[in-house]
Amino acid sequence: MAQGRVAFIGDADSVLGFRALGVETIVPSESEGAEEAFDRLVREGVSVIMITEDLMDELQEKIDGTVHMAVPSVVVLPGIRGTGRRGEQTIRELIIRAVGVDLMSEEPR
Amino acid sequence: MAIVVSATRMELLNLRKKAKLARKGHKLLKDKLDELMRQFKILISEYEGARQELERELQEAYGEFLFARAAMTEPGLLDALRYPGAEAKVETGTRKIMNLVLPVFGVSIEGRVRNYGVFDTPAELDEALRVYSELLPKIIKLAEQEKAISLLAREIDTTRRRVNALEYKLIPELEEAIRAIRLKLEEMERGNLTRLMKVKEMVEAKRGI
Repeated sequence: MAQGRVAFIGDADSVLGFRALGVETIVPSESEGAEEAFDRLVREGVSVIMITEDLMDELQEKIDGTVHMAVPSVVVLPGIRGTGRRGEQTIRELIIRAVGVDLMSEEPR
Repeated sequence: MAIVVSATRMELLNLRKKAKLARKGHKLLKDKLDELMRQFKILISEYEGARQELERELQEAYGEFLFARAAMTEPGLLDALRYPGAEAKVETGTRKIMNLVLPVFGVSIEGRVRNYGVFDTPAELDEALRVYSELLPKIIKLAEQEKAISLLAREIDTTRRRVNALEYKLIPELEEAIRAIRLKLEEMERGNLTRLMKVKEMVEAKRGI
């Protein structure tokens, strides 16, 4: 069992609260954009990288680069401004591609 | 594209060996696919609904945090959170399903989460951080599950391709080639036989004179 870290890339409001828990929080800026930050975290061997949904498009390529690796695990979370259910959609598509049918039933809401 | 080889007994033996191997491989891969599928279904049934629940809880947590932010000044909030006294650590292990290495995470938050003074921060901040710290393990769990699902999904995809390539391409082609060679050899056999009979006839006719 190796020790790993957790990081959260996203806008300041979504990320800030997690900072108190000791999660490494990164707000993309001029000096370090989301992509560079992501690359750095992968290089440093961070176990779990959380990102907000609005960064998903920008980072898609980088995320695809990590899918075959056990670590890091990238998890897409809704930001403070609400959810587009993008993270769920990604997993759903994966399942459909692998199995051919949608195994996850739509939950009644 | 059909397999082109010279019609010899040697090639026939080789092709038969190859076909046998292909069939064995096909069976193994198919078994692997079945097992992957079974594991995948288990993963999905565990995962189902987890994300919806988490997203809902996260929205609530964000809400709490916004309350806290509203009760404080911006610099005050930043000051309070500037030096985190806690450290979120993730024990990273692995487990194996078939040939896949999947991560296993165990999260722990060490140190003081509320690393700020009591007087200049509102109670809302304490509450928000409490909710956040309850949420973090669930997020990590979700990360673990989603990683497992995506790795398994990819493996299922490639394995299925291999199974199909063997089943619908390689094995039929090999069988076709084997059949073609066998027919050719039989044809040569018959040709040889008639030639022998003809020669015998001619020899006997000559002797009869």
